[in-house]
Amino acid sequence: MADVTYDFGLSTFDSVPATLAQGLPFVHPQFALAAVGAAVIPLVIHFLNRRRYVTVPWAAMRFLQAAGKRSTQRMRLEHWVLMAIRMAVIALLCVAVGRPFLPIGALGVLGQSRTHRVVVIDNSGSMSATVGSQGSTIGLSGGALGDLMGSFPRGDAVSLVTASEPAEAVLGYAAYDRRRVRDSLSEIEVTLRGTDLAGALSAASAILGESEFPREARVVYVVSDMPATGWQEPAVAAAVKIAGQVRSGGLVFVRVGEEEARANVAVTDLREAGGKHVWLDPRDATRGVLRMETDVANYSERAVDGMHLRVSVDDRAGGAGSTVARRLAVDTLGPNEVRTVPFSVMPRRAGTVIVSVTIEAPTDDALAIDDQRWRSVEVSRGIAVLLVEGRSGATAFMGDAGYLSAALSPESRPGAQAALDVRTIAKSAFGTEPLESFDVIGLCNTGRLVSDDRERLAAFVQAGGGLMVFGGDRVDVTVPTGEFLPARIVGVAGDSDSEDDSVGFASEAFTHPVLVDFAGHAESGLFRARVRRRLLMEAVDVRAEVLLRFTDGHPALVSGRFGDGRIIVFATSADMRWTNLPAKGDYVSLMANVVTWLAPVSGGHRTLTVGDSIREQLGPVESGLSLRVKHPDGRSSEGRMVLESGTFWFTHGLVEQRGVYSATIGSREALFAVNADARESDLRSVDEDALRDLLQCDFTYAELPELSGRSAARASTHEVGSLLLYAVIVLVAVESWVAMRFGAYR
Amino acid sequence: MPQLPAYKKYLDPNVLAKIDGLELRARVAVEGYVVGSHASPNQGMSVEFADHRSYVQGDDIRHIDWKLFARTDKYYIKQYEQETNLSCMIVVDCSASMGYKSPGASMSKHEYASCVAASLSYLALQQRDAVGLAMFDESIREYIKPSSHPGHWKQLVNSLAGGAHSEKTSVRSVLDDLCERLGRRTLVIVISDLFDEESETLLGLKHLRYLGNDVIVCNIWDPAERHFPFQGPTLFNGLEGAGRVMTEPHALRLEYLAEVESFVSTLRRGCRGMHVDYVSFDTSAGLDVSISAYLATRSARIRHRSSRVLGG
Repeated sequence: MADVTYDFGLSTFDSVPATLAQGLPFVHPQFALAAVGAAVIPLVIHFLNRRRYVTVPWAAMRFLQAAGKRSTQRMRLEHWVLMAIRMAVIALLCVAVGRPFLPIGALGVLGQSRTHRVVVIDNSGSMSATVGSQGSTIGLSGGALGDLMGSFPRGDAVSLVTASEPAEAVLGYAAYDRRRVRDSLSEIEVTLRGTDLAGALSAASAILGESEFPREARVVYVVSDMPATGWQEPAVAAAVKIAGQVRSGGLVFVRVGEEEARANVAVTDLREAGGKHVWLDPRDATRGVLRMETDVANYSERAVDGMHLRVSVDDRAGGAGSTVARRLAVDTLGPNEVRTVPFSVMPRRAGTVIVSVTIEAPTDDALAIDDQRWRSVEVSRGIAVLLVEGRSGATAFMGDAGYLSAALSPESRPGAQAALDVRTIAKSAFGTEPLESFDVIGLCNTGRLVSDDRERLAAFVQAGGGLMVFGGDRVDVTVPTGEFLPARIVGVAGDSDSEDDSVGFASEAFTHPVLVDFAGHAESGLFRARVRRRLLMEAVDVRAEVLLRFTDGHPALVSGRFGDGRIIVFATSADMRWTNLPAKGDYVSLMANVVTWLAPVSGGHRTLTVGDSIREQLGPVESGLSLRVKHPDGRSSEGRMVLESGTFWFTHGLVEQRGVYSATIGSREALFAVNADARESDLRSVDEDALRDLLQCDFTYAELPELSGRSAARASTHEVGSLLLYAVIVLVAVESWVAMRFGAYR
Repeated sequence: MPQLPAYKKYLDPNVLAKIDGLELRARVAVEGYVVGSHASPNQGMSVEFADHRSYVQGDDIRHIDWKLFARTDKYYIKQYEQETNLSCMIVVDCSASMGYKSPGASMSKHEYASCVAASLSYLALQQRDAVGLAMFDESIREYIKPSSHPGHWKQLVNSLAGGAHSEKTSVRSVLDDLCERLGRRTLVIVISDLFDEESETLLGLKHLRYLGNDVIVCNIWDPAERHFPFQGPTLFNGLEGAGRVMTEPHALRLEYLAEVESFVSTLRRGCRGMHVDYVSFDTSAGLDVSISAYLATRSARIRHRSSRVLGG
C-alpha cells in the first residue's frame, strides 16, 4: 500500500507547460504573451497605412507647407498619444483574457488579491477503504483534490500538509510555482499510518502564522474521511485556532467517502497474554507455551456472524513460512463490540517467532489492511535472576532468599535445559555485581540500599530489567521508599511470632499473568497460607496495580513500571519468618510467574506500527557486519549503524508496509512485525452537525459532490481580469475622445 | 453634337443675359477717345453739367456763366462731365497652379478665370470700350493691346484658350511690367490665384494704383483649396515645383485653413487700403452669379460716389 499514490487528475491544474509562461503571473500566460504581439498591431497598421496613400496634385502648397511647419510637433505628439492608447487597449484586452494576478495589495481596495490556500490531505490508512461501487476513498479523494486544486486561480499560493502520523508540511510555505505543487502532490503516498489530525491542523496553523497573506485571503481545506477517532481535544483546539486565522468560512472540511459508517471488522491488537510476556515452563525451556490474546472489533451497527480467525506461528528463521496454524471461532460479534480472544501456541524453539492472526471470514468488509496482524515474540532460553538477601544464613534456607532461590531452581529433568539461572548474593556484594548480566533482581529484606546502589538499580529497571522487593524486619518503614517503587510503605502490622493477627490472601477472578493460574482455585495453597506480619502499603500512582490483597483488604502484591522495566513489591517476606507461604507448593508457581513476568522480553521492540523505525542493538562484534533489511514485498535495502551513548544500533528508515521485515546482521537475523495503525480501523466519520457541536466555530463543511464542477471553489475566486476589462472600456472611450479632440475624425 | 468654336463656351447665354442688363462703370472716370456712357474724371466741355467754380485768371471766358453773373455779379465758370470710353486691361494668370482642378470641380481655375475674362471683355466691347489682355505666369507671356473693335474679342478668346503653363506665379514683376506698357489710366482686372507672397502682390497693385489705374483683383479658388476636404494619408504633389508633402490632411486641416484665411485677409485688407476691389471667386460657384454680384456691387458703389460728388 505504501506505493499507492494519489491520482489527482490535475489536467487543468497541470495544463500549463513548463515554459516561460510558467513564471508569469497569469492563469493563461499564453494569452498574456500574445498581448505583447497584439500590442504592436496598431503600429503595424499605422505603417501599413503609411504605405497606402493617395497622390494628388496640389497648387496651394505654400499654405500646406506653412501649416505643416506649425503643426508637425503637435501632430507627432498626438499621433503617438493615440498610438499608445490603441496599443494599450489591445494589450490590456489580451492581458485580461490571460487572467492576470497581482501581488497582494498592489491594487489596494480596487483589486481582489490572491489567496493562500493550505490543503490538508489525509493520507492515512483509512483512506484506502473501499466505498461501495465507487472504488476507494483514495480515488474519490484524488478526484476531489484534482477538482479542488484545479479550480485555484493560478496566482494563488498553495501549501500542502499530510495528515498521516506524523503530520508533515510537505509544502510548508506559500508556493506559487504550480510545478512544485504538482511534484509535491505526486510524492504524497497513501500510508497505513494513523490519522494525525491534531498535528496536521497544527502544521496548517503554523503555516498560516507565517503567511504574509491577510486573514481575508487565507483558506484551509481539510480533505479527509473525517474519522471520528481523530477528533480529540488537541485536534479540536487546532481547528478552532485555524478558524480564527482564516476568513469567515475559510476553514473548509471536504469529507470524502460515504455518509453511513462502513462495516469493518478488524484485528486491532495481538499481544502476549497479560502484556508482552512470554510464558515459559520454568522446568524446561524447550517446552514453552506461548500464551497470547488478540482483540477483534466490529465497527458497524450490525452483528457479524460466523467469524473465524486463523492463527499462524512462523518459527523458522527468516519467516519463510508458517509451521503452526490453527483456526479459532469467534462466533457472533455484536455491533461495535471489541472482543479479546485468548489463545496459546507452542513454539518449537527459542528465539524470534512471528505470530499472526488473520480474519478468515467475513472477507467483505471495507478495510483490508486491518484484517491481519503480526507480532514478533522473543522466546527466551532462560532467565538470569539475582537474589540479594539482607541476612545470609549458614545453610541454604537460613538466608532471607533461601526459600525463593530453592523455588526458582527446581531440579531439572535429566538432559533438560534449565529455564532459570538463579544467583544469590549478600547485600554487601551488591555493589560489585554486574547487574546487566541479569534479567530480574530480587531484594529480599535488604533494607535501604546505599545511594550508588539505588542509582544502579534504578538504571537497571529503567533499561527494562525486572525488580521484585520483599519485606522483612530490616525494612525501615520510616525511611521514604525509593522514588521508582510503585508502593509506599506506611507501616507494619502483625506479629511474626504469633498467628493471632495473621491474615490470608484474598482469592479473586485474577486475570494478571502472575496470578491467572490461581483464578478459580480458592482452595489452593496460596489461599491457605497465613501471613503473620506484613508491611502496610499503598499504591503511589495510577500506574501501580494491586495484584493481590490480604483478606483484610491491604495490598499484598503491587506491580508497577519504571522506564522499560517492571517492579513487584511484596508486603511480606520471601522466607518463612513472616509467612508460611514458602512452605506451600504454590509458592514455586507464583514465584516462577513473577520472575517470568518481570523478565524483559527482548523481542518486544520488534513489533512495530507503520511509520516506526527499525532499531536493533548490536553486539560488540556485530558493528562491522553488513546490515540489510528484507521488506515484506521481497525488496531489500541497506540498513545503517549509529552510535548512541556508547552503544551501536542498527537502524533502518521508517517502515511503510505491513508484514514481516527481516533484518540480517551478519549471520544473525531479526524479524520485525509491522502492522497498520489500529486506529484507522474505525471508519465512522463525523458528520456536519457533530462537528459543529464539537468545534463551535465558523467553518464550511462540504461533501464530495459539492466540489464537482468547481463551483464552490470558483465562487470564492477573485481575479483582476474583470478590472482590466473595465479599463479597456474606459480606454476605448478615452481613445474616441482624444481622437475627436486631435482631429482624427474631423 | 458639333464642337463649338473655342470662344463660344465663354458666351454662355445665361451668363451674358445677366451681365447685359448692367453697366460696367468704372469707379473713377477714365480718359477715352470714344465718348460713351462712362463718366470721365476730366471735367470740360460736354452736354452734362457738372458744377460751377469761381473764375480764375487764365480761364476761357467762353465758359463763364453770364446768367449767373447777372444775378450774382460774380464770375463763375460752368463745368461739365465729359463722357468717354473705357480702356480695360484684363490680366489673366496662366501659371501652373491655375491648372489645378479638384475632383469635384467642374473646371480648373484657369478655365474659370478665362470664363470670367471672356465675359467681362465681351461686355466691355458691347459698350464699345477698349479691351486688352495680358496672360502671365512668371512674366507676361502674351500681351494684346486694348481695342474696341468688335472683332478684337475673338482674338482675346483665342488667346484665353491657350491653357495654363507650367511656370510659377510672379505677380509683382508682371504688374510692374504692365505699368510700363499701359499708356494711360486703365481699368486693370487681375484674375489669378495670387499664389505669391502677399507683400509682393500688394506692391505690384500699389504700383498700378500709383499710376492712376483702377484695379480689380479677382482671386480664383478651387473649392478644395478653401475647404481642404482630404482624408487619409495623402501625398500632395506641388504644381509649381514646390516639392511634395506627405501628411494626414485631417490632422492639419485647421492650420491649413487658418493659413488660407490669413492670406485672404492680408490681401483683402491691403486692397481696401489702396482702393482696389478684391473679389474672391470659387470655381464651384456659378460664373454668372459671381460676375453679376460683383458688377451690381460695383455699380452701386459708383453711383453712391457720383451722387455724393454732384450733391456737393
